[in-house]
Amino acid sequence: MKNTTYSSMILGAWQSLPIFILGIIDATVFGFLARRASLSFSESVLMSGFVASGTAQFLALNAWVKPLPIAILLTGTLLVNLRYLVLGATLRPLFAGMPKRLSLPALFFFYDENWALTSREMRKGTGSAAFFFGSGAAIYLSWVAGTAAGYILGDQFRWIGNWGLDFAFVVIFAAILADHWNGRQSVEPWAVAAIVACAFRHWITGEWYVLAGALAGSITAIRGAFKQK
Amino acid sequence: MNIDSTAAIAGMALVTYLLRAGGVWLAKRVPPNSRTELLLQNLPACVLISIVAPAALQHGVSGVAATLTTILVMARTRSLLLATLSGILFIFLLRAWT
Repeated sequence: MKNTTYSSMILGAWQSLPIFILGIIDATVFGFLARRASLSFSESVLMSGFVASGTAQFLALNAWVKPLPIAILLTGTLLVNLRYLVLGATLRPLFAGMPKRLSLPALFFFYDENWALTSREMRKGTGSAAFFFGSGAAIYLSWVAGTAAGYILGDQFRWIGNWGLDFAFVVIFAAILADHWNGRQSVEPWAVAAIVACAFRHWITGEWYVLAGALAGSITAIRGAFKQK
Repeated sequence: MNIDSTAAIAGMALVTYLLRAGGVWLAKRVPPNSRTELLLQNLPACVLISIVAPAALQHGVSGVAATLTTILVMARTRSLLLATLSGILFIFLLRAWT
């Protein structure tokens, strides 16, 4: 393995340290709730290990009643994770020309958080598939380990909500967002995205608000760019 | 583990992975310098704001204030850790106060 590849991986893992810590906490909440939804220990840990998608897993807990409504579980997973198609498309430059035997396993370690960190690096010109993989693997570990811990420790984690830690992920995304600021040309698309997302969240149920806001904002940005030309 | 929970977990895992891997595959079919590519370049920031804005609003005044604090600290320091910590500390103090 090349030295630069290795150091990018380490850099990715290091950069995701705050997310790693908060990810453990988030995952303990999942483990705790999974136990209350009467999943077995192995079901909870395997779900975190193979699905590794917080949104889909929290959603699944709500529908986890025997006999399991598998069609509903799968449709829910599809809807809340549809955003990965859009996020993944923005990662293309990283994986262009990379053999599938490397890119396909790396794309398993694809979460909102390491996507956001990687897109920040890409803007600086230092994004790489190794960085993506390093940060993703760290987040994955925290998610699986946290699920097991939460399942075992259970009730002792209930104070988390009072500490402002439930807000931690909003804060992380906000910090990464600050790095995407492009001066005045950002104002209009950002405002449109924020308003559309809030409106969708408020009036339309489900997880569509992220896609709706993102598309509305990006289309506004394109129109701005074409007007300048 | 019984068969229906195995099937549910395997199905959820497969659906999620296909979506994760599918985006990169789809993007290969986007012509360079097209509107679609411009759209993709602008998506990351707009995705982030679409996650952040409704969530901040949901947490009320303290949520919005903590989010703005984070963005300001990030713009000043460029440190993810500092910005995150100050945002969390801010909302913690606000909640303890009120």
